[in-house]
Amino acid sequence: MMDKTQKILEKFTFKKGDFADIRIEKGKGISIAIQNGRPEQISYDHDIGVGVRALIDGGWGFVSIVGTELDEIEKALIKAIKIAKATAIKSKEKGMITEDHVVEGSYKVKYKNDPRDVPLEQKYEIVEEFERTARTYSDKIVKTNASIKNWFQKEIIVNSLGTKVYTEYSNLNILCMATAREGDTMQNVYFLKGTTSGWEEIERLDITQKGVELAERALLLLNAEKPPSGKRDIVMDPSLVGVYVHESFGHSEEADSILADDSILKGKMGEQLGSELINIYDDPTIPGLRGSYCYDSEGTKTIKRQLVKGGKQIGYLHSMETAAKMGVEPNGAARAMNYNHRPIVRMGNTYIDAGDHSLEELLETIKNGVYLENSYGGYVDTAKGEFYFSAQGGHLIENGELGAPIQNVSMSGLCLEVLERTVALGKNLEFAFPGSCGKASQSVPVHAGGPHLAVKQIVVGGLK
Amino acid sequence: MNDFFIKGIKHGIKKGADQVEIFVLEGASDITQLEKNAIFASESKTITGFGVRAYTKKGLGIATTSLLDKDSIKDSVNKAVKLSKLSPPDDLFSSLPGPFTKYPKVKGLEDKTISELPAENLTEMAIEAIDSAIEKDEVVVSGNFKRLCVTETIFNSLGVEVSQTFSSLTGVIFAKAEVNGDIATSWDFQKVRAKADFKPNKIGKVAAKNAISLLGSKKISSDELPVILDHRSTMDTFSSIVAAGLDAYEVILGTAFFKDRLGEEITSEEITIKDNPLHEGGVGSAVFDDEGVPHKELTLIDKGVAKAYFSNSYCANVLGIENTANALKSNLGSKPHPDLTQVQIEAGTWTIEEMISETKKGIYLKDSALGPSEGSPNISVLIDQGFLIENGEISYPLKETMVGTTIFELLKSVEGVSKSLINESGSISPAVKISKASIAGGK
Repeated sequence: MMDKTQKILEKFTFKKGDFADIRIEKGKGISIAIQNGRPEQISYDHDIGVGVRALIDGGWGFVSIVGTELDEIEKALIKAIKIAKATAIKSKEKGMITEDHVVEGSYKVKYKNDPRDVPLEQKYEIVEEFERTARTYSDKIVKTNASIKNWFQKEIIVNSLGTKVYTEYSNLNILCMATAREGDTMQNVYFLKGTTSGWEEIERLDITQKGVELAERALLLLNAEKPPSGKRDIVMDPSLVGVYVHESFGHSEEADSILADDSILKGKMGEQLGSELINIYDDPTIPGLRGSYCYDSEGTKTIKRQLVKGGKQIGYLHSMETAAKMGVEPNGAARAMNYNHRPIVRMGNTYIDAGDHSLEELLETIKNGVYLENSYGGYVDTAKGEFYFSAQGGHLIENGELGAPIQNVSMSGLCLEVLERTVALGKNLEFAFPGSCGKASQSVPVHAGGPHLAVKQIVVGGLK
Repeated sequence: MNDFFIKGIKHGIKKGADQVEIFVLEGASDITQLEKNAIFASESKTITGFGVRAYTKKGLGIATTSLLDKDSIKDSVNKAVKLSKLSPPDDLFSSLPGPFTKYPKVKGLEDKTISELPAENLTEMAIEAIDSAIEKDEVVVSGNFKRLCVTETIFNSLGVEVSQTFSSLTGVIFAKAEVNGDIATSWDFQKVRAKADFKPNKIGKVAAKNAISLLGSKKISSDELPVILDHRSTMDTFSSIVAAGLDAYEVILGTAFFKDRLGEEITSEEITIKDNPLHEGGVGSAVFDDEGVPHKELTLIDKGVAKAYFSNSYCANVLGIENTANALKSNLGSKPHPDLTQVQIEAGTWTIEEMISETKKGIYLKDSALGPSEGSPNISVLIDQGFLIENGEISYPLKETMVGTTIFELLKSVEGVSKSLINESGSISPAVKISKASIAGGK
């Protein structure tokens, strides 16, 4: 299929600066979900399609089709070229592409235990056990939802420069959510394990224990204090640190945001942004994490990228286009949700590197404040540099120790101020936030983490 | 093609399923992407696929594919039936809905001038929006303009066989204003079903004006203050509260905020909220829901009193209530759950000017929702676009400011509802003033 697709491209002549690529995707997956003891969904999904890009005279055109018929792919390429030409006439900001960047390679997923070989019944039993354990722990657990999803995808990427890449990608997730209710008080917690490794990752989990822990967390929050409102000194757990670094820095380091004049970090390369304690990386090459991959959606082999070193900004995330515009090498950060979308600059696994303090030392540093744990996610306005993220719960910090539990709450801050106010880092790096990142109507799997982090004067949007 | 789907339904029954449904999507979208005051890319996408739901002895199997051909239909039906036999039964399930003999007439769902609009015209509209935004030198804009045409067809083994076609134009402009290092961002958007209603220049102008109005933002100290929600903030806030509070499926699960409270006064008597999928040309309008059940108008809150849960066939059967035809599939592979179609909130008696002038110190929210946190009535949100009100006047824009309250407190503290309404392609809302919420400030 790869050679036949390459032959389609060879029928066309691309002058210097022009470009086209074809991305063929075939994906299959199974989802099992159980809600409140009843089967919610057992589904089989099958998706096949092709995304075709063309860059002509500095204008981009993109066409997607379902199926992989060669004639249809050729028609899609003709259409992509046509709309690229039409775009070029209207476009004042010309697109570019790295011209000497040619990749040939392949990556095949290697499992210890292939999730596709695990019988449906076995998967169902695990989901059932997880959901039942959480639900039956207490009458106050009113809603439970557990699921397993696995997705396997093959992709061929060819382009007019000569790139020929075959890559496979897989994703396996187990999730359980529990909601506890007493009168008008409701608290919701969840556990998610997301991996690009095999079934062995599920086997390593003690599902029964996880179900009990989840129920206990929900019940603890049901009787927890209302969260405080106002500026507070805080300690974040690795899950919140993951979302914090993803939202506040990761997005601002995406080179398309810099070029679009949409990042607070534009023009700050090499500048000291904050505490020398801070080192930030994005590394899709770490095996098994949810945001791990080998080749990006343009066929570039991905690498570990350091974004902040000793508090100084040193790197961006790049696609072929942003790299060309900035005169650097692409670093494998162009990702597309599926064949129906263009690749854009995205993160993979983003983290703050560990420091050297224990959690006890961080709590002692903050003395009186708020400990926040288990992230719900967040968002950022990269242009203003203002971010928001939510915790499933936490504790008050009183006299340097964890005090009374508090309910779910959100926080916000200004990216550059918060980096300056980071006063201490924990010593245990943990990839504690497997999630999905949304940008430009595309959602891609990511992972994020870090050590515990002590930060002064964050706005906590509590209830009292 | 329809014959193949009907044969697919029959094939599923022959294979042993008790009931089978096929939901088909066929359509296309064109998108013009904007970046840094310029056209950046043009896209043409195929939106095609179908999902099969098969029930055998109350066990459910679902199969989806993007391919619309005879073999894929048979293959997907086989897979769904096979999964339904492996699935344990859902004892609460009784039947798919239908058949139905009468469907409402809903005007304005499809506009041929949108379906037949040349892609170049979409680009021209985007340029019009950019040009009107960058009349202000300090503004940089990005965004996208989209034309969508899609046909939904639903078949089931009880005799449902219905089809509806929608077209829409959507424009979104994000604007960034920058003066001497001070940065503010905002946006505006419009989604319509009739081309004649689409105003690209207005989208660009409003986005730019909004961003400029947010320059000079300041931090404030934490306090407990009244909050005025503008029309869009009211729409988003009350839609999210009602969506989580009166959802019949959440009632079954035990997490609906207003479970067992129908007939109770839950908010100010000035608040009346309907879900109306029959509004002419509404972007949430449709002839039938995602199970093929004929749509109807539904009063959810009447003069502050909770009146009804919104439901689908499953919930209606389980709770013994009317099926309000609110089934929505979040994707082809999902089971349809109840969701709102198009919220319409009635006008009150205040003017916005009165709300502001009678506020000594408070917050004015613009196009920002005070939505509840996941699975909780607690509200804890960042004010993206808000202003401080001082001595009855809007004083300055805010940064690093959050609002904390609960949905119960918010509903109890509704102090006034505006007589002015916005109607955004069928979604209708006044502005609302609430008497107090915790404000966390960055000062």
